[in-house]
Amino acid sequence: MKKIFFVVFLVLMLSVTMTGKLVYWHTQEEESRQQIIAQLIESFTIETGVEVDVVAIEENEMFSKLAAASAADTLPDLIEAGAETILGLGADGLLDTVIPTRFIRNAGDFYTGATRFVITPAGDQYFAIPYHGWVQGIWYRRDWFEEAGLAEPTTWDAIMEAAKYFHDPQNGMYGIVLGKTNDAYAEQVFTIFALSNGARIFDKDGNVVINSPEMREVLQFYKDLGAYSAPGHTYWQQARELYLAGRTPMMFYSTYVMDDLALAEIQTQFISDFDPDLVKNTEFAPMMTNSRPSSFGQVLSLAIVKSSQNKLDVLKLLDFMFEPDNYIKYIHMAPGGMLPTRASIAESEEFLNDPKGIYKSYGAEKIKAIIYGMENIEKFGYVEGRVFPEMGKISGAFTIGNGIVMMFDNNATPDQVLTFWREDIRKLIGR
Amino acid sequence: MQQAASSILKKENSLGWKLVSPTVILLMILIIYPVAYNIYISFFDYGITSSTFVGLENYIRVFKDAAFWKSFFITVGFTLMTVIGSILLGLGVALMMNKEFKGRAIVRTIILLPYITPLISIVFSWKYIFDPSYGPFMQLFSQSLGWVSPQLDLLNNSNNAFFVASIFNIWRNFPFVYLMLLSRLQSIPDEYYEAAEIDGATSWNKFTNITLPEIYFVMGAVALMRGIWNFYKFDEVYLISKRAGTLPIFIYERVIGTTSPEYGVAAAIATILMVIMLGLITAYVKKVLKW
Repeated sequence: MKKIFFVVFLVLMLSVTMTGKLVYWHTQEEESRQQIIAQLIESFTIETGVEVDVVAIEENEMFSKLAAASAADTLPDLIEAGAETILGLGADGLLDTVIPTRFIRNAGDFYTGATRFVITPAGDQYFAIPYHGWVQGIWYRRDWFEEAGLAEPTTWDAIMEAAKYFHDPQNGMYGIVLGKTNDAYAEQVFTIFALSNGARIFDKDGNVVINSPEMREVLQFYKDLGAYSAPGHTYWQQARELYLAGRTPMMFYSTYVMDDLALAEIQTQFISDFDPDLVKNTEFAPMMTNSRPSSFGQVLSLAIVKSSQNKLDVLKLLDFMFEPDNYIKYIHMAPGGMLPTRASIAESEEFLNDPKGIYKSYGAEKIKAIIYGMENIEKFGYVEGRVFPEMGKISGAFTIGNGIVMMFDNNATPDQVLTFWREDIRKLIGR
Repeated sequence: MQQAASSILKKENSLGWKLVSPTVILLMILIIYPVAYNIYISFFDYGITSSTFVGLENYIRVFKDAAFWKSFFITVGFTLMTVIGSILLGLGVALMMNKEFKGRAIVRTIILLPYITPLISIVFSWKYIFDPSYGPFMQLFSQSLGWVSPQLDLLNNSNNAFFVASIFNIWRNFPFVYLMLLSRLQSIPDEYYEAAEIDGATSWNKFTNITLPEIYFVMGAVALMRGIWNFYKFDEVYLISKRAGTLPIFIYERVIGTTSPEYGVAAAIATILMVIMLGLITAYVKKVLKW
C-alpha cells in the first residue's frame, strides 16, 4: 500500500513539475499591448502546447514584486525589463547567463549598441537578450527655429539661446520642458546633459567621481535652464502635452512620442485640434554636445531567472518571440517606442510597414537613422566597456531626481546637490 | 434544577462559540496572521535572493534614522491638523445645517459631495486645477492677475505639499464629521434650549453648556476614528502629493519603487507604529471617552 502511495505521489509530483506553466513578467501595462501579447502567447501555446502565465508589472515595482515572489517561491521564469533593472537583478545573482549568451552568439545580428547594456561586468557573458529599445533626445519645432533663425538645439549654447528666445510664461509659452521631479524621467534628461559634458558617476575603475567640476557645471547649467522651463515638478506628461499644444518649442522625449505626433486619434486625446503638419514641422535631435557628443536611450531585454525549472520551455518561447513575424507584431505595438535590436529585422520591409503607417509618415531613412542612433546610447552605469550594476540601485532610489528637486524646490546650490548625491550614493552602494 | 441550569448555560456558551467562530477564524486569517508575520519578518533582512536573521538590527536602524523621525513628526502634525480641522469645519457646518432654511435639503446633499465622489476623480480635478503649466488656478492668479509667481507648484513642491495634503484631507473628510455630529445635534431636545433661553443664556452659553456636552462623546469617537485613519492614511496623501512626507509614504518607498526593497525595515516601522498607536488609543479611550 505504501509503495502504491509513493508511486502515485511521485507521478503527481512529476506531472506537476513537467506541466508547470511558464511564468512571464513584462512591463507593458497598457491594455492594448497586453491584448497583443496575449494573442502571441495563445499562438505559442497552440504551436508548442506550453502554457504561459503572462503578468504585467509596473517596472518601478519589479524589485519588490520579485522579493515577494522569491519569499513565496513563485519567481517567474522570464522577465522583460530595462537595462538598470536587468543590471540590478544580475548583480543579485538572480539571472541565468548561459541561455542569453548562447542565444545572442547564435543569432549573430544583434546590434552591439543594444547588447552592451546586458553584458556582465566580466564582459564575457550576457544577463539577458535585448528585445527592443528607444532613443531619447530633444524633439523641436523646426519651423519655429527656422523662422527665428536659431541653430538646431544640439549644443548647450543653442538650447539655452532657443529657450530664452521662446520663453514667455505670461502668455503660456515656455522655452523648454525639463525633468524636475524625482523620477526616472528627470534622471534620463539630466544624463544627456551630464554625459555631453563628460560628467560621470563612476570612472572606468569603479570609483565614484560624481563630485567633479564637470558635474557641478552641468548642475549649474540645468538650474539656469530651469528658469526658462515650464514651472513645477514637470515630467514627461507636461512635456508631451505642452509640446502638442504648441506651448513649448522643445521637449525631451523618447521615440515613443512618434505616434502622438503623427496620429490624430492619439493626439486629440491631449489637445482639441489635430495638427496634421506637426510631424513635418518636428525634428528630432538625439545627440547633444558640450565638451563631447552624447545620446540617451533604453533597451528592454528578456532575462531568464536562474532558478527556473522550465528552461527548455523558456528557450522555445524565446525562439517564438524572435521569429520575424512574431517579433514584428510585438514591436508594432508601439511604433517608434519599440525599435528592433536585430539588424535583420530593422532592415526588413515588414518592419517599416506598420499597420498605422507611422514609420511611412516619417520616412524610412529617418527611422533607420533613429535605430542606428541606438548604437550611440550612453548611460551612467557603462564606462568605456565596463559595467557597474550598482547604478541600478542609484536609479531605483531616484538619487539624481531627488537632487534635482532639491535644486528647484529649495534653491540648493550645485555644491549642496553634489554633497547630497555623494552621501546618498555612499549609503546605497557602500562606497 | 441547578444542574439543568448549568447544562443550559454550557450549551449557550458552546452555541456562542460556534456562532462567533467564523468571525474569529476570519480575523485570525485576515488580521492576526499578517500582523504576526509582519512582526516575524521585522527580525530579518529580507532580500530578493536571501533572508538573514538580524535580531533587533532593523529596529535599531529605524530609531537611529533621522528621516524616520522627520517623517514621524510630519505624520503626527498631519494627523493633528486634519483631525482638528475636519472637526472644526464639520462642527461649524453641522451647526449651520441644524437650523431651518429654504433649500436646506439640497445644501445638505451638496456638502456630502467631497466625501462620496470617488477619490481618483477628485485628485485628478485638484491636480488639473493647480497644475502650474495649464491649470486654471495659475492661469487666473499668475498669468491674468499676476498675484502669484509663475513658478508656484502648490501640489508637488516639498515645502507646501504637507499643507496641501492636509487641506485636501480636511476638505474631503469634513462631511463625515458633519454627518455624525448633525445626527447627534438633531436628537438634542429643543426644551433644553428653551429652558436656557428663559434663564437668559446667550448663544455661546447654550453652545458650551448644552450643545458641546451633548455631542462630546460623538465628537470624541469621531476624532478617534479620524485620528487612526489619518495616521495610517496612504491613498489620499500619496495621490495628491508624493512629497507630503508622511510615514505611510516613507514605508511604501522603502519597499515599492526601489531596487533594494527593505521589507525587514518596513516591517519594523509598521510594528513600531502599531505599538505607538495602541498606547495612544488606550490612553485616549480611557481619558477622553471615559470607557
